[in-house]
Amino acid sequence: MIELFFTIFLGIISGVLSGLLPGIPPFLGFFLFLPFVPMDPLMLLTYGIVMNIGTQFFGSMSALYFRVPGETSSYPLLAEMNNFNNTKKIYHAVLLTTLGSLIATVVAGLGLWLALYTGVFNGLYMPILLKSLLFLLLTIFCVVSNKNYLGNFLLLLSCAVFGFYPDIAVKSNGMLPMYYFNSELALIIVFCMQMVWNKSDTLNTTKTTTSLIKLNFPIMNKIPMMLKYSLVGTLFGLIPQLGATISSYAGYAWEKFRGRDSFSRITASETTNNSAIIFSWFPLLLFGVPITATEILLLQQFNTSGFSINFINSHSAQWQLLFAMLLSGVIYYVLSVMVNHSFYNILGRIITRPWFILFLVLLSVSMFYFLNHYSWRFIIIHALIFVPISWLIYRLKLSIITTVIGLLLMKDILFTALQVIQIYF
Amino acid sequence: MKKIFVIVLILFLFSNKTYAQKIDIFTSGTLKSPHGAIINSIANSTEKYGLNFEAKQAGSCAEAVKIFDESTKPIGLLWSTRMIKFSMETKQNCIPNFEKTIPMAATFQSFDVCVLKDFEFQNNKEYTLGNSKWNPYKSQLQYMNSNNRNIKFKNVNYEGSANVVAALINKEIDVGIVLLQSAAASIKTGTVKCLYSTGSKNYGQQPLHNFAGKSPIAELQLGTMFFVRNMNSKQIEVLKKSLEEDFVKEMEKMESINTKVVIDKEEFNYYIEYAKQDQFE
Repeated sequence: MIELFFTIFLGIISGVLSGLLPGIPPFLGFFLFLPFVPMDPLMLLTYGIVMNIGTQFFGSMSALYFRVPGETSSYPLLAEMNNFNNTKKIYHAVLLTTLGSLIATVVAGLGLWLALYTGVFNGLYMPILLKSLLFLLLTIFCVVSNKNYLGNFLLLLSCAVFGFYPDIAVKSNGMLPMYYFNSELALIIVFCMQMVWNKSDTLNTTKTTTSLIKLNFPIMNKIPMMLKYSLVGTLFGLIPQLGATISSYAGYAWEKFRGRDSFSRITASETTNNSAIIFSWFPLLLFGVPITATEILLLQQFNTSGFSINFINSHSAQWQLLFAMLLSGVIYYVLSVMVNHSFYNILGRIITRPWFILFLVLLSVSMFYFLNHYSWRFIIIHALIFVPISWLIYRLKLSIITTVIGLLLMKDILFTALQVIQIYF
Repeated sequence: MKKIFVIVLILFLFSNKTYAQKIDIFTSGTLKSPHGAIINSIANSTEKYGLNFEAKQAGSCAEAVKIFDESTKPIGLLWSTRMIKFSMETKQNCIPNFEKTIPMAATFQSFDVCVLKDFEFQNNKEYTLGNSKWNPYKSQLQYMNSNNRNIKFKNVNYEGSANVVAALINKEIDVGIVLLQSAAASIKTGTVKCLYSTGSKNYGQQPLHNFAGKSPIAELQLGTMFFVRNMNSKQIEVLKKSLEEDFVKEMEKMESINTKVVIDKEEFNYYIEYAKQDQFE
């Protein structure tokens, strides 16, 4: 039992760090404290799941307080940041997103446990046609979300070119770097530039962009919505690799499409991604199929250590896993909301300053440089391309979420379309 | 509370390997591929002997090779035998300067033809064949279609072997060609079985040439070589000893075959010749 608590503790630290730091995606977060995790398959699995849950909790914290997304699923929050222009609203957003994340953790954790315990979902799978349908809906939401249909459509088409950039880079005789072009670095530049430009607008005018928000912020009436999106997220979690990211955008886009306020949009986004990240473990635990990078690394660790995933058939292991998920969810909630309230209030005052946003841009770029050994040429190429693009997006009033989905998902959307053609035609 | 947090954070940062003496290993692929696991095994095998290898990701294979070739410090490179073909195709230089490298180890992974557990091939039928877009899928499709049972295959590309296994489970495809490591967990859970292999017999696979006859593609394996440079003779000795002790066992656990540590000139030439002959599309 001590081993389990120790593993949960390590998972929580890794989750917090990889969630908060934009340069550390979940699969690298998995490595942070791996050497200290007890060499037992249940402990390794618990560490991976607890860490993954934390990335989604604290990815949104990073976006809300530092205006830099910790994870790719946190971009919808950034798209709404100009509507959270004071500390009270930011704190309310924290309360909503963390409660949504907690409810999603409980719902998805229980769902995963039930699936393992009863074995009734053993035949469940995600057919490619369903995946394509989800992609199609997401694309439609992007195009219609702010009624700039043609602009958003053309933006998606442009992103498709960037989506296939690695193939262009391969043919560039080594002049252009291959990996991570459609990465968080590009999106951080785009988002930060948007905030700098939008900020100067709001300083020159007295209008508020949050007319839909009342002064007293209700929380309890959002719980049914959180439950609904927790269930939706479990479905999206079955999509390989991108479940959490796609579910986040889908939840956000659907609420925006229905004309709901900013708080509803980010609650939907943050709730769905949490349940998706937990349910993404479903194919691995039931079929031995890893669908995310963290799961692939975990499985490699299993292979190296001679472990088999079959241990999860034991009811004792299933109960311990459920306990770990629920306990970590509660701890993440407490960490996010209670302990750091005053700390966040101070931060909230600082981060609304334009100089701080520019500082974060420089910091993010530096982190990418030092963490990944990229050359300055690579960063300059990004800046030269994406600063003008972000200006265009701002001037043409295109949907910022379309940029995110375009850069992150167009490659997968087109690749999936190609697979459907190859399979059915 | 805040002070304790800051102290713990500082201690963590300065105790991190980033600040310790280390030897970088670059890969010609990505750390998310099996190369990441192999580097992890090298680091594990050598750590107790005082060598501190650390995985590094470059922007491309050409960048990794350039860093490796130009480094003046001790450095490692994990290199795939497909890189000679890849270099010719893309006009990048993904081939290190072999004159100045020391080959330390080589390991191979088989390509396996896998299906769902209840699946049996039937004559005169058409099946969808999933394959990684990084594999020589055109040559493999051509070989699979050359069987004399009138079984036809239609190619479907995926991002990697793990995606092909997921597609099998999802029933998107009927048959998948995968690197065995990606399918091992699904085989152990009883969801997937592998019928034919280009080298492994770990799960009762038959040789792939039993399916459509003898052909070089039916014997093709994905080779990975580990090179170092700028290491002194003492470091090389320690590295050889540590790899001999654990690395082969670690590779076997990862379903790799024909792993060899300490490579002489003749063996090195054989591996490079093998890489040159891999011109499959």
